[in-house]
Amino acid sequence: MTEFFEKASKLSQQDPLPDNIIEMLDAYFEIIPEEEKDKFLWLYEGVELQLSQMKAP
Amino acid sequence: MAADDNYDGYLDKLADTHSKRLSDALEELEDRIAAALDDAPVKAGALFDLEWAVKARPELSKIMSETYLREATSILNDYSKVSVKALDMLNEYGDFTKTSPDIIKQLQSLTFKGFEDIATSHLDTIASEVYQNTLTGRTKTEMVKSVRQSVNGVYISSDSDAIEKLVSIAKNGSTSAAAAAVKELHSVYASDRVGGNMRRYATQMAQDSLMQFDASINTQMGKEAGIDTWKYYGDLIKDSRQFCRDHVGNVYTTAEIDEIWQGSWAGKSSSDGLIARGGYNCRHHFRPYISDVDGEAEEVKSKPKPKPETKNKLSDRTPQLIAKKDAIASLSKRTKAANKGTADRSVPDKYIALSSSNLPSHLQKTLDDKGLAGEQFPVRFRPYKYKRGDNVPKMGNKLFGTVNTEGMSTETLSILSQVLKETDGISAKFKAPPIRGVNPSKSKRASASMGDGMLSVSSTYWNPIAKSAYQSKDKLLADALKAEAKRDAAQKALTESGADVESKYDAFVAVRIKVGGRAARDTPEHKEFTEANVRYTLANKKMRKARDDLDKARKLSEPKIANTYIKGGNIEDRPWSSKEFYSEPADQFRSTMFHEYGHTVHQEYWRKVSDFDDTSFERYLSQLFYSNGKRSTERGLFFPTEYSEHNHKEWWAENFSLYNMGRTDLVDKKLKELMDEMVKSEGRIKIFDGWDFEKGEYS
Repeated sequence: MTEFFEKASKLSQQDPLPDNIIEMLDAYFEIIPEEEKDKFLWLYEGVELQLSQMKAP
Repeated sequence: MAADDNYDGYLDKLADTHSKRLSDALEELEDRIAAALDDAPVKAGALFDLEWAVKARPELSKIMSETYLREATSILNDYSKVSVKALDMLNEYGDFTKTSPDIIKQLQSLTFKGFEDIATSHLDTIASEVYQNTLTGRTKTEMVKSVRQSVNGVYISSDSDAIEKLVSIAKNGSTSAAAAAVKELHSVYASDRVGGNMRRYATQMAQDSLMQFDASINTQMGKEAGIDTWKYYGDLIKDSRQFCRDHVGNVYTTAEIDEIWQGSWAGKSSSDGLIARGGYNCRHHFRPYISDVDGEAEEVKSKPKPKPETKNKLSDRTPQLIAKKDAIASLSKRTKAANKGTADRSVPDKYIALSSSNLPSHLQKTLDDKGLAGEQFPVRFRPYKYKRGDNVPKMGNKLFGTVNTEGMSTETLSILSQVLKETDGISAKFKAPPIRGVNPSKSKRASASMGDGMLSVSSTYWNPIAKSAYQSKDKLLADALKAEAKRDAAQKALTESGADVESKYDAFVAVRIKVGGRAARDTPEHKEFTEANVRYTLANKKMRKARDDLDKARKLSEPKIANTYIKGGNIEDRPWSSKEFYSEPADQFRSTMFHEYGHTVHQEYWRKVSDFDDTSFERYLSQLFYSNGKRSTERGLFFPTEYSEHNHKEWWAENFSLYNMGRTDLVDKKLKELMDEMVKSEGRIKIFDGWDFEKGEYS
């Protein structure tokens, strides 16, 4: 796992997630090697689950 | 140690040395190019001199020759030593004649051509970067940055975009994000210097060309000696392809090799199986085999009868391909049936409706005020296509029970419709509501996601994978070859276009000298030069697309190897995600959808209308997973994949997927007990491990 992947992974585990998490993931996605991209998509999956959850009224 | 094993070790070591030497040369190349670009003339800090930009190319070409190509030449000189070592090894088994120096020379020359092609391709891209940066009046620093990117990430056109994004975050993000981005920018550049795609392509070339050279001389010496049987040998490592695992240690005749290699490997890196071996990056070899003198005859495994490949044979794990409309009809029927609610929380497998008696009075009033009470469901997740300001409850409810399969191929839909049947079965087993809707992926990159029982599926991600479930290896390989031919054609067009720009520029400069700068702009030469530039930009774009397509096609044509990690094994061997435990594309899809359905279970099991932040189930998982705000390492929890360590919900979803894929051996002990209990119980379980799921607290 490259340093960038690891950093992105840690970032996506922060609670709460940074406001610009998707932008940050996009930036990391562009610079990680091709062979890590498939795995990286899971970070989007996990983040998507949290971002799409509504806040309590 | 056997002579061939010794030789195998020697080749592996040499391949690693060659890769390292080339990487070092690329470092030097990048530094020297950056230094050369420092001479670029600027006006008010901006690049402007197009003439300089065009003329920089010969200097760049010179640097390329003096660094990367010089090292490639030096590497090729080692090939003579390889031929001597190969002969020494073979003479342990028989009497072989040395390969003629002429043949070695020819092979070296052919290999050099490969290194040269990479250099030409990169030179075009670098020269283009220099020209484009000058044309758009960027700063020298920006140009050097983008060229550094081109050197080590030349195949990733968006690399500089990534940096731009980080810069933008540094400028406009929140304080903490901006600080993180500034820190990252430094690392981004440092990483690119270490190597990106050019290094990947060049070092792969170093490894593959050495192995192909070895294959060529071994084949030549064997054929010269009249030998027709060959032993496939070499070490098996974690990443060895299944194809190599199946054949390593075996002995085949030339005819058998032709037959076996025809299906999966012919043409992958050579049309000759003896040369192609296991394809790109393969470190296995053939050597001539003499049964009556070969000291290891008895060690050789009995020769398996090669099975002829059946074209388009579907795996047992792959559902029958069905018509798109039938798949959609089946999905619609299921999701419509699934979208049933109940106000009675003792009914486990239905979605809880807002008319529940458990609705807090303030929520009930809000619903009444908005006219949303009745058969509505509480919406906890942003619906597909949600935009800020949208009415989430209305929008969500409108989508529940519907299917939007936009972009999904027949293959994806065929597998999805079967998998939805299976998740319906799982939902009944686990007493949780089934999937009640399908839509395209909400996020631009997640392969799938889940919320409120609505499954999002990325067609961009799954269509090619699903397609590979229905195509023979031959077809996938043929597609990869076609993509390779397209890439080669695009490369040729780009090179020609580059030469055209140069000649048009020379003509334009000649006219400019004659008529002066201003008047030159109205000449046909200026027009032709401008048009040639546009053509070059288009050719460059086509080239990048062709290269990406080739990467994708190669990826699909390579055999998928299932991860073999087992509990108690080396943790380093664990896969990133549970889908890597399966080699079949349909199983990878299935595993991912089961993972997603696992999210529905923690989202809906004993869910109350008033649950927004976390359900009782999620709180149970959370207190199990975390200890003092960090992932617990003291409770003996098991994490079958790296992703399962991410958070409590992913831990559950990964384990849930494995459980339902029949890999209970990989499931965490506590979660397995919980899942067993959920399945065994007639209704929903109320108390497990002391946790009251209905109340959401320890009893």
